Amino acid sequence: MAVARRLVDALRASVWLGWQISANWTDLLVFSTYTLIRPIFSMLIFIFMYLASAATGGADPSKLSYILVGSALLNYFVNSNWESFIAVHEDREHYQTIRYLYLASPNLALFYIGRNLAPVMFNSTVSLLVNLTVGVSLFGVRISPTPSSIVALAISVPIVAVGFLSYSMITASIGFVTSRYIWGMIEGVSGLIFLFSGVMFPPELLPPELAWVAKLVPWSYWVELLRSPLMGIQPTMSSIGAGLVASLGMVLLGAITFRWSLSKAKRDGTLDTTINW
Amino acid sequence: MKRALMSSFITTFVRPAFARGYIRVVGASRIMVDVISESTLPVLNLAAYVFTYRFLGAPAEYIGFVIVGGAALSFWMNVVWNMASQLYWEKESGNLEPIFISPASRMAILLGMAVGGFVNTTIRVTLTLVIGVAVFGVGFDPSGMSVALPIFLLTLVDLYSVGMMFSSLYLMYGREAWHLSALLSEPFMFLSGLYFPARFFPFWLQLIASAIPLTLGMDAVRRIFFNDPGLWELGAEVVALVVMAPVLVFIARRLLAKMEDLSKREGRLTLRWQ
Repeated sequence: MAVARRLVDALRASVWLGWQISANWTDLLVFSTYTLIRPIFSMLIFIFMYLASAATGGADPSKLSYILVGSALLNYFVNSNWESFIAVHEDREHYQTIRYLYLASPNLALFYIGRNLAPVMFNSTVSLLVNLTVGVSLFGVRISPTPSSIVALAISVPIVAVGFLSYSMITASIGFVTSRYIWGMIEGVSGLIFLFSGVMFPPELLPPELAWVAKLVPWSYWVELLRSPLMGIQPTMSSIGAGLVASLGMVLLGAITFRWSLSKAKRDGTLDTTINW
Repeated sequence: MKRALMSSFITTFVRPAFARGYIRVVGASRIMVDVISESTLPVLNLAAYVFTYRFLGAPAEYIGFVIVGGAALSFWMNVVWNMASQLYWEKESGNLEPIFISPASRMAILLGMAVGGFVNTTIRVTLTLVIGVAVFGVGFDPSGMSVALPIFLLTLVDLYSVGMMFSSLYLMYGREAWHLSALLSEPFMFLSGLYFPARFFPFWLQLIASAIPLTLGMDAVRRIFFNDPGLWELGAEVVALVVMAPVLVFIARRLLAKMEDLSKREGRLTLRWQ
């Protein structure tokens, strides 16, 4: 019981720290404005891509709904990817605090989960709500959740959240063992997510020699689990099962890679080595 | 007198500019794996935009817009993260003090960063373009190259001048700098119509967007290579791009002096971890 309480306290402290690092450079209004600007303009890019296509005879409102819901969900993936890659790098290289964090935190994995949780959840959820509101009110996006799809969403969100958090453990692990390649990794993985998650277009559109990748990566299952209920479509049991398997796989992979990379960084003496700043 | 002036110009301007540019080019190009990965990774993003257009049933020339837009985006990202933000990086890594106490001209340092960044990005963008054109089979009118290339170069001169202009802001700010850089990403990508023709904007937005050199440059290049109707007359766009360069450099110079003075007075010039 005492151990559990200590871990909960540690998680709470790391969420608070993550929020402070992310937001305390300004007041909440300015922070919220900055937070909203990127996803709104990102959404507008896709809207105008649709309008440009529609002007040549390709108008199909269901496709607009598909890409707008996709662009709203994309923020979770992009923010999670960015925050989890950058957190270790910032703590070690920029703020040079990782040795203190390592000493003070009862569980470093828990610390990085908490540190990423606040900025990712706040930024992405606010963006999701604004994107959907703008999409529905101004561009006629059809979002028609039914009672059963809301239940499905309630089941999907924890499955995807567990997967995301475990995925962020993997990226944090990469941060322990590399420094100079972190920026390329962020761009590369973001590109992979964008291309293979089916967030903006169905993965079936990919050529057969690439389409199999979409079946291997977990993001495509998570996107499907979240998108379907939002658009009023009941996810099938097989898609829920696939999402669950993907998340559990991530939990296992995240735990193994985190343990291995932390141990390697300690063994090599690179846990607090700074070379970038 | 004239000779002394020339000697001083070479010492305080030409050599620092060359030195800053040299470090940037050599530092970023000495590891071939970096060059190759930085050229190929953007193709993943471009591919996603291409498939989004295919999903939307867009005509084939729109794929070309994406490839050309992706190339321009690489330059813009270089301007934002490695040109405008550079003084922030220098401050955080402790290099700003030696740069500022040396007799080197601040503008020379910025020029060196711009030229070095331009060379690096050109190498990467060329590879990205080759891969993009080869993979997606983009067809364009090569006869327009002799006109499009100078216009694109002119656009880049303007873009790097914008970078110089923004760089002064980073003397003052800490973490705000990150957010400012982010603010210069998606909104500018949208307003400059990197992935779609800006003529689809409402008229008032076309006017606002035209204040960004990238909008005019991309519009001109799309018109030349893909026969897109475009926003304004080509000649007017070129004139606007020519006029913008000296104006932006002038503003950059004034801003740099002003912000340096302000950040010294507020004691934030060398303040790290703000």
